[in-house]
Amino acid sequence: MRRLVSVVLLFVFIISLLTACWDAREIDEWSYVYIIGVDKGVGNALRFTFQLPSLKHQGVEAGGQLGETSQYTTSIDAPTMYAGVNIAESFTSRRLNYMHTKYIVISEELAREGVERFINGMIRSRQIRRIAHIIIVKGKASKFVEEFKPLLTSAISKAQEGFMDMHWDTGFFIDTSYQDFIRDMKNTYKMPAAPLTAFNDFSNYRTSGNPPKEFKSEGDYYAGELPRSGGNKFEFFGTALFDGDKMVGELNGDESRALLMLRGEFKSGSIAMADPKNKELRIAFDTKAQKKPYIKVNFHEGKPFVNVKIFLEGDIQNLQSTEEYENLELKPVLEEAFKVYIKGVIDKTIDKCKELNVDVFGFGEKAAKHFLTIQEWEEYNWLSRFKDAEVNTEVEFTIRRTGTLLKTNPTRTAEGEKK
Amino acid sequence: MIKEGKFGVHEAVCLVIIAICNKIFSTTPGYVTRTVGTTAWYMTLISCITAIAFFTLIYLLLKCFPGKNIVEIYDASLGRVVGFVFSFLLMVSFLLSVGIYAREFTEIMKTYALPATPPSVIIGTLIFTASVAVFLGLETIARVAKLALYPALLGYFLILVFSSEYFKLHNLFPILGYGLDKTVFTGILRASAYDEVTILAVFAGSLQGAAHIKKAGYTSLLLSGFIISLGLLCFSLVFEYTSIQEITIIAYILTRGLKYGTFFQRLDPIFLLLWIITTTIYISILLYTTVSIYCKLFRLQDARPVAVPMAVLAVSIAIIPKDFSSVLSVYVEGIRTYGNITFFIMPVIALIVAVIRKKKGESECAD
Repeated sequence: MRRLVSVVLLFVFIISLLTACWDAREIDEWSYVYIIGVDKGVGNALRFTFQLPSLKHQGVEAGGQLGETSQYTTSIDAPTMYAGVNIAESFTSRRLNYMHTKYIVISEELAREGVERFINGMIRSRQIRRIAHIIIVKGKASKFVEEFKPLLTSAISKAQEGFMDMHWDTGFFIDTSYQDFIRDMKNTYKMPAAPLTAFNDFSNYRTSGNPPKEFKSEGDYYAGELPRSGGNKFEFFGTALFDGDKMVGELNGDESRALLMLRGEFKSGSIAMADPKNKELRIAFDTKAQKKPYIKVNFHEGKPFVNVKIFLEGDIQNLQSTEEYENLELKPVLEEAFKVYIKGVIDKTIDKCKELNVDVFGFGEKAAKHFLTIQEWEEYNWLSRFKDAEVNTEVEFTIRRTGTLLKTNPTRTAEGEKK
Repeated sequence: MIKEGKFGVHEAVCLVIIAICNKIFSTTPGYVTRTVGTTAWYMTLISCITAIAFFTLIYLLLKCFPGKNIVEIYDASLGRVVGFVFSFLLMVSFLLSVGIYAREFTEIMKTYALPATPPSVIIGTLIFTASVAVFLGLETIARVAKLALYPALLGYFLILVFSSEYFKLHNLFPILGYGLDKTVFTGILRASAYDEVTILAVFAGSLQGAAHIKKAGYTSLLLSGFIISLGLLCFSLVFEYTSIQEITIIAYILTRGLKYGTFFQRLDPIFLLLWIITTTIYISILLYTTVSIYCKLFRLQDARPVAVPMAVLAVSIAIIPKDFSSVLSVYVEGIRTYGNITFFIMPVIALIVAVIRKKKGESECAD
């Protein structure tokens, strides 16, 4: 009898397992949001734009290749993002899932008014990933989300990672995760910063005229102003600076590189400068960070003094001049000129941030070591004192290699060597 | 008296380590950081030292009454009535711990992993598993704890090693947090984080003598102090104190934030696996201890008839708090703050009384 009861109980238990998880949802019941755009609302507090994959192939092309998948976007005015998600679900057949969202794009207009209310609000959801990238867009975030159709690939998520990874190669913008942003928004050591993006109408691309005589660096542009034509309509360039949750300024490409160098996050970049012996010619270095910067903060009668030393190294990538900069006599001339150039960019960036009183460099992280308790540290209020800081910078730079040429011979014309 | 089987020092150490260190995966790091700021990692060492001091006194008490467990010792030292009250309070503390920690686990699971699952299903599954463990006995739980501890520790240390890329030394400054006085005071008060070492006194009969208990107690406390302190240090190195203060489960956020390229990221399933296994063992240990004290208190020979009613009581306790906030601020904090009384202070009182009575020639205290 006991055996029979046990068998029946076991049978009932096994039968119950056949139902699977009653609250489980299959992958085809979800619609995964790629990008969330946030604008100032019109019909309600905020406007949220979601980009979703349609998962509906455009058909099979000749040769059996699948056609590109398409995305669709939808914008909703709602008091909060989750209310917006609910609204969106009233006209979609799938539940929205933002577990794989990689970009959270915020319009500059909203960023300048303050982002605290939704940055704080969104993070409570388990679906929001703290490794998602925060991006500030000049203009409407909704437009960016709609137009985010990368040209080189149809794999949106891979393209999203690819765009952000470019900052390691160029240094023209920084990469900020949701975690970094919300951390810096609330901590006592430094202020937040985020990458800037904008649409380029290609109006800076002149089709005729002469180039400027003065040296203009490759990073001396703000987002949306690059002199180019073709390619993706949007570009990631420069950095948005925040005082707490409000955007208060921006850095151009050069200044963003300086910011990365000071933060110890600069990896590499091709940096051009004017030839020290012939200002009309240009020299470019494949520049890399040699090691993390040395930063020391001291206090004298309450005033902070910051000493920074940046360590760079590079290879000559482009030498327009025929001067033998490769030899041991002239190499120091080039190194010295580069040091002065980089120091100038760094000093300019620091001055700009001091004017805005935003320590986005993290000098406060070093300053905190001088305080024993959190009460003393918070009472000193580093973030309000940054503008008074005296920052002394120094740059170390070594040319390691000269590329595939050891020497540049002059071009010969009918008259002889070209001078 | 119930037969609980025998197990060695090794199993006992594993049992106690799982019971103590499981808290690192809970809301505790956030709560501690709210109080002491950047010093949580060494505050817990103060708690550990305090717990070692209390355990020394418990060990002296056990040495005083060789071969007896804490329930028998309370009776022998304080008399049947007061001894009964002390043992009953100890049992209630363990029972409350089962219910409250099961509820805390449930709320966190609902927040992070199973949002659509009714709390009763999670609580029920957890307590049901613990009840099965109680039926199987202490020896089984101890051996499973030994089996589970090594992979759990491996996973835990892997998470900490992977997070090392995100370490920022400046997060430890200001080095004294909200003040040394606050750190020391909270550290002493929070010795209750290590109070599970008391289970060695409950199962004194299953360990081969006071020397084994001493070895198991000190080893497990020192190792637990190291594991918890290392975890808190890593959390502090990755996140600023302002972030830790507001995040519900810092260990989960840490594992979720790990990113090595586009493929190797989101290691939260490792965390969930570790946490579910260790919590199940932890709840089983607590429920078994509750049942065991009850049986010793009422001199019952068989623990099995008590297991189901205790499980029902534990589920009832788990569903008392009306929300997550009250689970944390009232119940978990209550256990942390007042746990010292039942787990550490009462054995000390018993020791003092035993020593006084011995001097008067009334006690059977052996040494």
